[in-house]
Amino acid sequence: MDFVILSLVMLAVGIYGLLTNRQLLKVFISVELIATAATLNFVILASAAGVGLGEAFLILAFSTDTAISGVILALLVIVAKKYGTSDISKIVQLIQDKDESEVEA
Amino acid sequence: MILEDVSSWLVWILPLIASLFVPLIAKYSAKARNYFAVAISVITAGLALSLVPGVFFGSGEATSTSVAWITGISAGVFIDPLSVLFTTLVAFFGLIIAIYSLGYMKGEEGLTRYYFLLLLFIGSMIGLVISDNLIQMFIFWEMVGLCSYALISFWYKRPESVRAGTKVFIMTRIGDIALLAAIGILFTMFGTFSFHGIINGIQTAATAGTLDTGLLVIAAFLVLGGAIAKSAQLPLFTWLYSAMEAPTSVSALLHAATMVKAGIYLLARFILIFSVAPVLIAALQPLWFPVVTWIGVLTAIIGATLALTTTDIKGVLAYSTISQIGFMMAGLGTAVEGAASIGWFASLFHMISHAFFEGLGFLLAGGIIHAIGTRDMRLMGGLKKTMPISFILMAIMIITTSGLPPFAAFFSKGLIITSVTDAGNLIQIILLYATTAITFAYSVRMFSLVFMGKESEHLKKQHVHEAPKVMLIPAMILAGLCIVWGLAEPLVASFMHVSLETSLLGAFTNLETPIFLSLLIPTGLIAYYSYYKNYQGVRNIAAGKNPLTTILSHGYFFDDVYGGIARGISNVSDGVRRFEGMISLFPQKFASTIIHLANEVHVYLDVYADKSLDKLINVLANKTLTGVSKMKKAPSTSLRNYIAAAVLGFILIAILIILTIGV
Amino acid sequence: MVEILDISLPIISLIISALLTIPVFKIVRKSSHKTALTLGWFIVVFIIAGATVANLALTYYSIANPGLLNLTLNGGASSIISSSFLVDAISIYMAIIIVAISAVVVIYTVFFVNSNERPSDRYFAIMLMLTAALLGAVLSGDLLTFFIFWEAATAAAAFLMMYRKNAFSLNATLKYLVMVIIASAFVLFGLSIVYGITGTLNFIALRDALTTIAVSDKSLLILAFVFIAAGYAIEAAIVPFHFWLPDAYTAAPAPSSAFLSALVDQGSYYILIRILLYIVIPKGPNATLDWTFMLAILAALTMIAGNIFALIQNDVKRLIAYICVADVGYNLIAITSYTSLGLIGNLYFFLIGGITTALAFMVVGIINKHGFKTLEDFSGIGKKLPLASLALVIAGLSFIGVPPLGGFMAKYLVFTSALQANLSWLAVIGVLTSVLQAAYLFRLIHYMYARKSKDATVIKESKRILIPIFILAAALLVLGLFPQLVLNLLEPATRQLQLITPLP
Repeated sequence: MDFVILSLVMLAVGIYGLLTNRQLLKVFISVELIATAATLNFVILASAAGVGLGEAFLILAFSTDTAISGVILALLVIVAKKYGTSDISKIVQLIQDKDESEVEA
Repeated sequence: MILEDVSSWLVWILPLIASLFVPLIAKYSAKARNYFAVAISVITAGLALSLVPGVFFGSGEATSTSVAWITGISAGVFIDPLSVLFTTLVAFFGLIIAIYSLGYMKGEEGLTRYYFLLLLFIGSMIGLVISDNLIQMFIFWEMVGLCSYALISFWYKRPESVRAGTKVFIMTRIGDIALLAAIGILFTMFGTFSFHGIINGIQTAATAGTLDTGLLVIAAFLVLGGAIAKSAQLPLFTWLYSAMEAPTSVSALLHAATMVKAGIYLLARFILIFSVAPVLIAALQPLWFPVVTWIGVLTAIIGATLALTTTDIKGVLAYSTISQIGFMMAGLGTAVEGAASIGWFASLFHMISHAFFEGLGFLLAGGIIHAIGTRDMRLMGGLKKTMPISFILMAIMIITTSGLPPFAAFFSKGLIITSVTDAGNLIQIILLYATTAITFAYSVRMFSLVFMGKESEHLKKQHVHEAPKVMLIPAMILAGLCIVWGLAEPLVASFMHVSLETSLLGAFTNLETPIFLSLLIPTGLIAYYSYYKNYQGVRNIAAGKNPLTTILSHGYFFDDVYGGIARGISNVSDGVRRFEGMISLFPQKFASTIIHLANEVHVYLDVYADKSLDKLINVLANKTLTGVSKMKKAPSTSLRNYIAAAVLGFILIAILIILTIGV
Repeated sequence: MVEILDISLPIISLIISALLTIPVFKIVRKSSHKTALTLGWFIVVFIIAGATVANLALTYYSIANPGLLNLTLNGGASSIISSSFLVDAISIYMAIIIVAISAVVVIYTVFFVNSNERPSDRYFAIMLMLTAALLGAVLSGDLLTFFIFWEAATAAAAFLMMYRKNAFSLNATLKYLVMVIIASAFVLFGLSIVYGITGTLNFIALRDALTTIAVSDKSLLILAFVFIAAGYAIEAAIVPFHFWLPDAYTAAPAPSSAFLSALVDQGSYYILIRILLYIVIPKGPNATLDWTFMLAILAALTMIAGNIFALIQNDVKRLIAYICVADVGYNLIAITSYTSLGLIGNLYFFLIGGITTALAFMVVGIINKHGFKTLEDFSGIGKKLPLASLALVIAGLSFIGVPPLGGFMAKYLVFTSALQANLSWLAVIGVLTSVLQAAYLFRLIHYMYARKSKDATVIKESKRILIPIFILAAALLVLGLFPQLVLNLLEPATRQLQLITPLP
């Protein structure tokens, strides 16, 4: 059961990170923490129950998670290319500035 | 035995772990980092060598040790002649490339990343060939793909490199999916991922007569799909040419020992697994084996002909690899008796000779590119004087590549041709002979363009120098191996625990050799004359409009076939267009009625609704809700507010639920 | 008997057509009849997909008394990594809606997007992939399978949103994706707890397990429920989780907005129905967890906030996006009522809401193409683009709920179900917010017809693009006049629900 505590701690850290971080990449990492906590939960509970579904879920959830993360990172790369910087906070700021000017115009 | 147990694990774990230390060591000294990588490669090579005696003097049976990893899946090593052969080759080449990189990559940016990936690459490839189960193998299979992606786009500031890396990654992914599907099928059938388990499963089911050969044939085709993508075979061979954007040292490693050889390993391994049940082999024989051979033969000839036309020195070598791996596939396609077939051994033997001569080719090409700064062969020429050592080594390389006696490829290629001849498909035999002839032609062409003739304008402008010693010594070692490797054939055969019917001398006296030489000498002469002596007659054939040049310059008419299909469809579409005209008339008639109706609505609104309604809404929206209007800007800009709102909503849901039912 | 093949055929056929779209476009670009050829290709694709869905529906209804069919890829060693599909009247209904609306939107896109443009082939391929993923989601039989298909759908949706790759859409897509991964992390965590308590994720097995759940596990179940509900509330854009939706739909190109509002939104309501009505039973002898009050509050919030935000919008596309949010609220009323009438009303609302928002986005897309974006820009549009404006008026009237359009019937069913369930206060809020809706939509209509336009430029209206639009408009009218067409299809669904849990 020690691992359940670990997964709860990871969840708490993840939610704290969601609330306190401005930078997109850190938000992203926090979300990954929550997802990892969930997968950890699955594995623990499955091994406690002695069925394989948990592990199957682990593999599938990892792959789907990774797919979405891949999309996000790809998006960040497009943004980085377009705006010439890889600093996330700056990019978001840049887009927002441009956004507002577009909306106003 | 204990030594072997330890070293069979260390040989892949050590480079993987050591790769993590590269960035740490780099913090202290760049020099220490480079020598650390070399030292690790030396140790890895030593560990790999220490596995050899056990297999050489052993019974040839596979042994494996494993530890539990997660439920149902273990991590382990699988020691048999095949895996040790590959391990030794990879470790040896890792060492060669690590030393070569000291010279070739000198002064490049991002070397920490380079050495990190290099060690990871070596470790993953060894892990791939030594794994005792499919999941572990698949993980390393992916890691090999990932490392090659990262190494090919090593110069990430050049868009071509990044594009090439991505192309490689995506094209090999196609094969990865096929392989994963095959693993899924095998697991479904036998409930285990381990090689031993699958072999036992096949044997038990075969003796009980319950073996589902249909499903296994599908699995075999999926495995073939994985191998095709990884080993750059038809129709997924184009990535290997793009991979030329990598640093040359990486190309050498990629071609000689890792990545493209993974597909050969996979097929060789699965042929071994499948061959335990004769009933399964019987099911594979009508379709699967012929398909493997045909893919091999066709790739061999297409690769070789494309090598004739490219002007990129590394491109020639890339197409040469594609062609040579086609040979190996052709050999594997004849291995219907598993390890007992001559084709199986021939492919693996050729795989090693190819590693030596292709590796040598790349090391030399790297030196040349290093010296003159271009890959375009048209800008080279007359390097014989300025780079004499490279000249001699390259001569050895092209002689070996072409399969001239008595160098390595003469024996290995001869064995493959023998095995295909035994299989007895006349077209395949003719195509393979034609390929050997073309191989000689493109080798001579490359040699003439680069080393013979006069110095080009490009070269006169710069001071060309011989490659540094640290780059030449690895090349010399490989050249030496090219020369003597063929004589090691009996030794390798006994290492692989296979018996060959032919002796070394037999290779000279059998029927193939005269055909071989009678084909090679004229093509070699033609190539030599056309590119070195500028013999106008041959030049005219090559430059003029004749069937051969047309086919090659059109890239085998792939595009033209597409165009033909498109024209056919556009004829059909004329009919469709008339139909389209008919449907576009309908809305017009519909429209005139509707416009009339809309005007009525307009008049109504104009009279009754104009002032009163607009005023009401404007008052409501703009005056009363100015506070809310301000709000509408804030949430539309900040992601952080969204997240805060979501967490608030989460708490709201929790409170509401608890209010309803209590805890 | 329904086989696993019957279920997977529609999904597989769409995936294969998606993969084939790119080579097909290579050929199409070389010919001189691009539009006709693309149109032909997609008609073939959707005829095949429609045939496979029809095959599924016919096979299912040929069973004497069709109930919930749970299909598992069972047998041998694979069973531990198997997942399952579920066929019942609801999922078949959803599958038909998805394929039909997707077909119309794709045909609209053929006219809207320049097929000469480089990435347009990928855009179409992703649309087909998204349709396939949604089909998989509505046909899946456990939370795991649903989760996976749903993730695939959201990834595809993100690509549809950022098609233009300008700062505006990149920003919106980033926000959408971040919200979606937060949602999926929440759901995943909730699922892990549910799995821990019950040892299963299959819809039917899970419901049975939850009715006999131990008291000590109850608080864990509440925690899991809150996580899952919050996760899917983000996906379904329930206030206060809705902020991503207006941004995303405004920034996306018109076909994407139409597609997402009509289909992806419906998918997320669908899972709410599955979880709330079929698994976590709120009332009666088998009650697990009473969520009705929570959902009623959220429904009220969503209707009020959605409509008020819509009222103050100046950008017409954004206004429509906020109507989408408000529509979620009306749907939630139906779920909250927990009656069979509510279920029918909800499913009917799916269809009508989907058609109406798709129609509105498609028309606004055409008008935006001519450079008219804000309410002021829309002045006099009624004269410049008479046909498109007419379609927008039909959509607007359907939103408000004017008979005889489909929206009237949908709202009528939903509000009646609320009254049946003694939730009259919710029905009152619903009616009042509908009045608000009438206010801002009539203002839009007023601008379009009664105001004089600022410039006198004459615009030539493209006729072909109006075909799919008027197909949808006609559907709204027909479904409003003959709601029995759909309601008959839904009748087995309520019978099935009665079997599980007796509804009032």
